[in-house]
Amino acid sequence: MRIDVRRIAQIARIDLDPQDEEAMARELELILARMDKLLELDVEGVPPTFALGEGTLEPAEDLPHESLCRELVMECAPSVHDGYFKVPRESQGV
Amino acid sequence: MELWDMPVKDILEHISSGEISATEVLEHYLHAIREKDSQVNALIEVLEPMARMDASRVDALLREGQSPGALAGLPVAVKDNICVKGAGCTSGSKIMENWVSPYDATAIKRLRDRGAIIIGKTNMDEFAMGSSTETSAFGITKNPWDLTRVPGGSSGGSAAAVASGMAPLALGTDTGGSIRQPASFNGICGLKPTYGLVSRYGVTAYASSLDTVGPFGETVWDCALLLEAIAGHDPMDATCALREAVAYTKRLDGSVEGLRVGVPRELLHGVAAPVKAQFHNTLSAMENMGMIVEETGLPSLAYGVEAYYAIASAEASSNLARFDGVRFGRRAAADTLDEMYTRSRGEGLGREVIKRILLGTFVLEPGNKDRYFMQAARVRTLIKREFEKAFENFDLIVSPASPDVAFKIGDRIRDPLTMYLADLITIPVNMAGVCALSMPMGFVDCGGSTLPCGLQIIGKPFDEPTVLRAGHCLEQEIGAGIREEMRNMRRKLGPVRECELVD
Repeated sequence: MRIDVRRIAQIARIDLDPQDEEAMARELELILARMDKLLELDVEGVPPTFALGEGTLEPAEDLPHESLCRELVMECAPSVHDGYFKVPRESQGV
Repeated sequence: MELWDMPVKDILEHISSGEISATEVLEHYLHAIREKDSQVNALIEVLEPMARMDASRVDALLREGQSPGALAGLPVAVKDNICVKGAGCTSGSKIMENWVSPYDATAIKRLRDRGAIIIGKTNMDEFAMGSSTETSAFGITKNPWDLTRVPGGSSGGSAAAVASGMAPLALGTDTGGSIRQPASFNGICGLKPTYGLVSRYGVTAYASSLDTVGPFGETVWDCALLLEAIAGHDPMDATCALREAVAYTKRLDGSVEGLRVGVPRELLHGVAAPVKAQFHNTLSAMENMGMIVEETGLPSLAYGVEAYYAIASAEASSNLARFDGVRFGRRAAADTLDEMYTRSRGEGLGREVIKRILLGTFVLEPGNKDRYFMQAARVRTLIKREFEKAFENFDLIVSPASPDVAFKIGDRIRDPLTMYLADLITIPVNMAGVCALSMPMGFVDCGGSTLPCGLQIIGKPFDEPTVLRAGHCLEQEIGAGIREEMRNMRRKLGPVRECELVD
């Protein structure tokens, strides 16, 4: 399996060091080749497991409760303006 | 007896009886950190002022005759992916270097409500992705048994802090073995609770269907004490089970005679000969105690690592999308929004984390999803079913906690596949969501060092009481020599302040 690491990095929104692209692709291909071992197992009719346990996984009741302190949260942000998170204004898209 | 060598149970009793104050205990451990952490690098942040205030509060309550709680005055070191209000929470990454948590994780709130003192935040593999603590952006943690070796990971800082005597107890997280393997490398105990027993609220998510929070301690009793404080339902975590904590410390004594113990062949694959020899000695000790030990087979466990890396990476690629420089953490200078995302993530995230995000993004792509992610999710079902079936015949399943002792720093970081495959023994437990204890079972002489190796005791979902009881009883049989070696290691590591108590 060949992997176009630059394209995957673009989807994941990560600036990848161009000098590392080849090494990264090689390492990922090794791992993917190893994962092909999973195809040895016959899983016909076996349902997938995505979650475990006895958690309720129910939506919380729609009741007001104490939430995080807005000022403290905004203090942690890299850039704020008038109580909002501030970001550069344009997006070029991918 | 001196404080550095005192069991946690005795420290608690001395604080409660007023023979020693919480402040004195805290100062002892802060002193140990000053003396030893320059060698070990177990802590990313020492919370001195906050811990001193909390210890004073405990002392004041005790003076007034009130009870500060079941953990009154006990210092606890906390892995740096668990939020402590007013402290940093880097998750071992420079992308979160300057962020300060505005809230306590549920586990931390429960510790503080019971009088525990959060002494510091411990080093870890970046975003818990690693098995050696070498991927941390804040330097490598050294193994206190041999400073040229890794402490394991990803909770290597927590394990090394307890082993070296810088904290009596610690919290870690375990997604694929990150509590059990470092416990094994450091000669201490660590428990990976059943998925859903401990709230994950306030814990940086790596792989949400696998992540668990659990305790480290020198003894099984210590782990039981910490677990009974943090376990139980939390409405802030929808995956948390509707169960209350059990008084685990009160259920440690009792008979283990007749317990049926399975030893899966698949979990002995690739185990180093000296570790295997210690494991067989331990099985003999278990048999002498009246447990019925029997070999068994769980064939799909051999596929655990491959399935894990598909599932964990997929979940990580989604969970770590939040680190984009918008609401928190490091932001790179950029002219456009897209540039800001890609540069902030490219500059802020380490190579191993980037690799796993790319892997996760790839296995979730429409053309690849069935081949990798869905196949892995189905294999996960097989693993889960095999555990369920095995537990029809056995009360416990045991194996070594790691195939080998701590390896040399730098030995495996350039060979990721070998590093990943070494997790073969611990990963199936997370895939099935069951509970498992790692406890020291002996030592191996390796390259001039005496290094500990651990036993893994796996139990049914929510059957922590049986796992802990078996571990506690076994500890009474084989633990004395291990404790003596621990004393010797601590003496060699650095001076300890004499703090004699009046009898």
